[in-house]
Amino acid sequence: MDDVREHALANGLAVLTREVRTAPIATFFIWYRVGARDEPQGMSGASHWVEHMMFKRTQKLAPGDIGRMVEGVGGTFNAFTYEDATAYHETLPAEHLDLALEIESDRMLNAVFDPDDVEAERTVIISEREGHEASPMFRLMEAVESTAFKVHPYGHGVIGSKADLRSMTRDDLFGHYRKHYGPNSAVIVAVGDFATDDLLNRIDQHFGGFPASSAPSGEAEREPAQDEARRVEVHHPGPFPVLMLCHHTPERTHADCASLLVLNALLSGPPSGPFGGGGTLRTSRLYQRFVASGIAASVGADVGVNIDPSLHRVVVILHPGGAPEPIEEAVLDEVQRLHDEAPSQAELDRVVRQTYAKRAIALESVTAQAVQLGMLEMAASWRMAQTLTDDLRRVTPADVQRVARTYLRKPARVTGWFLPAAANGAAA
Amino acid sequence: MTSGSRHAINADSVARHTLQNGATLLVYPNPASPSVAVGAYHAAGSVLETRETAGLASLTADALNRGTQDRTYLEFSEELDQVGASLAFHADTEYAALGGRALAEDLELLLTLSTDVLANPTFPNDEVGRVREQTLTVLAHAEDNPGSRASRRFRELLYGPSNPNGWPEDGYAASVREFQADDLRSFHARAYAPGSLVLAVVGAVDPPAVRDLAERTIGAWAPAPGAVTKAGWREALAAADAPQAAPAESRREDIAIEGKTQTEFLLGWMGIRRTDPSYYATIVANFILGQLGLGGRIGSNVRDTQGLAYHASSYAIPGLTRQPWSIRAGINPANVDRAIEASLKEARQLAETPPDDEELRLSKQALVGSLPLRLERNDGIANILLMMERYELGLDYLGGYPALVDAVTADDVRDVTAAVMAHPAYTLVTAGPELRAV
Repeated sequence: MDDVREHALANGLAVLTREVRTAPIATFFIWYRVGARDEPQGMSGASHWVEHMMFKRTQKLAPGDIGRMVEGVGGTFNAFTYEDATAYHETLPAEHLDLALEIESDRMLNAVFDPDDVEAERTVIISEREGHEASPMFRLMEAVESTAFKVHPYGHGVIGSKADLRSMTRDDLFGHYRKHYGPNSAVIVAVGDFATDDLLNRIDQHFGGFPASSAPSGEAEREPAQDEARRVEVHHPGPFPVLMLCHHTPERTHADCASLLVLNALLSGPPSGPFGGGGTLRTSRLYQRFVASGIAASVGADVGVNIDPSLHRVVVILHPGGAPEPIEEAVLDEVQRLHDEAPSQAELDRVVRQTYAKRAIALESVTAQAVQLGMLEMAASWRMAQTLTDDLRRVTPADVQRVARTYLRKPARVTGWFLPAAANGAAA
Repeated sequence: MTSGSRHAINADSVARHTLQNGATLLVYPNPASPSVAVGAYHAAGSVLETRETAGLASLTADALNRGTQDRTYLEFSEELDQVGASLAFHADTEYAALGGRALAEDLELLLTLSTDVLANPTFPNDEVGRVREQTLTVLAHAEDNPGSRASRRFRELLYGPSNPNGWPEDGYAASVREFQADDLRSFHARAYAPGSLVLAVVGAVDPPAVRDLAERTIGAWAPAPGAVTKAGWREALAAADAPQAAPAESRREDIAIEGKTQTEFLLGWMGIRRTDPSYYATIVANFILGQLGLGGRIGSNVRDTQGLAYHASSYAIPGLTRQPWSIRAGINPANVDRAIEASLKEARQLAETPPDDEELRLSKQALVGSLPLRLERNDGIANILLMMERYELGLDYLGGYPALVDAVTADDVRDVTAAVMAHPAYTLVTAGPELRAV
């Protein structure tokens, strides 16, 4: 990632490019600084719904056109919305990269939000939500987030509440779009087989004429420090109990993030990117304690590193009928171990080595590279992609013990349980 | 600007070699990344088990790395985790497979561990017990999940109770609960042998060096007496491919699962084999029907026009045996029948009227143009090499692939759709909240 180039258009549109010539393809992402954290009361799910509307009508395009244009040349496309941002992308045979510029420059300002399209999409999104509701993990996550965040919008999920999805109007959504979409709220990330100067000229032709808008402040209300442990239980029909044991953690720009990533690597596995996400290793502390021993079916942990303070989570899926109390005690015991003993330098060296290998493999695709650059830029700075391995290498055993004691402490804890119950709420 | 794939994958660039024990090795050097991907398939799928032992192939593959004559499970895991490598084993209906990733310098480790695990597993009793418990938890989850429930029941109805394609790869709780370590040991002795094994290695490697290494590792695995041969595997596949009589009339089952808000449905017919001459017309037809954009014509009708579903698509993924051509969607229970009607209407429309030129052109171009994207990663290339070998397509297959797709006509699309989906009797399963209660 040493050869990423950074540019800015006069209207504030930021552009990151990286030439990669190993395959004749290129990926084009546009990231908008709008996600669940930017949604006012009563509009949970608006950012994600706007994302859906961007595949509908613009002044030039009809529903389905984007799919036909991109897939018609062998490309792929999609979009995703999360707490901090919304991203749209096309990965294409390199000679067709201009298609992405045409599509994205058009829908940055020209989406129509036809009232009939909005109504049809309302049922589609409610259906998407109802699909998620089949998952115990979704129900538990929603309960834990709303328990952990009483003020900050991270307390409501990206998909939005059913009540808000039923009541939001076309004008609410269009207003959200107009407020948050514009060149100075966006970052383009292009990776692949192109000549950078040539691509920049074409980006300027497509986007350079758009006026800068009055970009929103980007400030979300700060969550007051939690001073007492919280608990939440979800009783619903389901196959097995699930524990989600969380602690509040700082924002991605905080100096302690690297130490928290190393801490998390000891618990579950090394990060494949600057946000974790490398999966659970069989030699990790949690796997050995819970799965290798046979007392639980699966375990994982991650650090939710976001623009604003977020959560460290340990998730344990029990066997059907498994008793909750010993599992919760065992997780707390692993947390206590991090408080009591600093890890060895050899363990830390191993995390760095594993991280290097995991990233070399994970970043083979241009799309994965663009995701990493864009997500980092949304949360902090794309430059963290360059420094990740060195940042982890500087973490000392004492740092890991210190961040465990600072963040993984009882008053900052949110414990969530999904407990199978009969449909009437009785224990199953 | 360039076009086409930078990877010229053909008989000149792929080294193909038969190892001393009969296993096949395919090597493609790709210096663009510091990593290597290893992939393999071999006979030990659920086609080699019986209805009474449904799930045995899968449990054997899952427990394979839990201990060998030379290593405990923890030691196996330590060697991989130490260097950030991964190596996983899995059994499908038609075959068993493995996949590994590592830095190229650790290829020897991947092949050494693969060989040890394939050839010398001991299936320690306590480890088998743990894997069995994990599988039972996975099965409990599948029972609770509308998509999995619909899909499992759909295959049971479509193939009937005596065909391995009809029972779930991971089996049933009732069968899995009974498996003991000895059952896994005897399945391993019978089903694991190098004769049917095809191994692909792709990455920053030197083919002659890989060949030497593979001979010393995988090539040194001697088949157990009486173990399945390649011919034996082909016979088992043929038995699992007995022509399926179409049902006399349509079948529908509605499965109620407590606590769910959405219904998943699966609607389909028996389709073709991968080696069927109509394969190319079928994938083009399926792309038009249920893939192009967000779910093709079905997605456009059910999702875009009627706003009934978040996902609605069709699937035709033929294998060594005949596989279904199906439509699936997730729907609010109140709208299930409307969505089913709309899906049937789209299928029948394509079975009667050829697609227009533009729709045909876009779909063909999508199938051909996406090839470079599938060849971007080393594991993607390894998967394509294994696919070419499995279906005996030849190492020059990719060069001819665009012409095969391009030759499909609008009438071909109509005809292949009619041959499968015009049959009045379909199989339909829904799973979700009690439908009568809506």
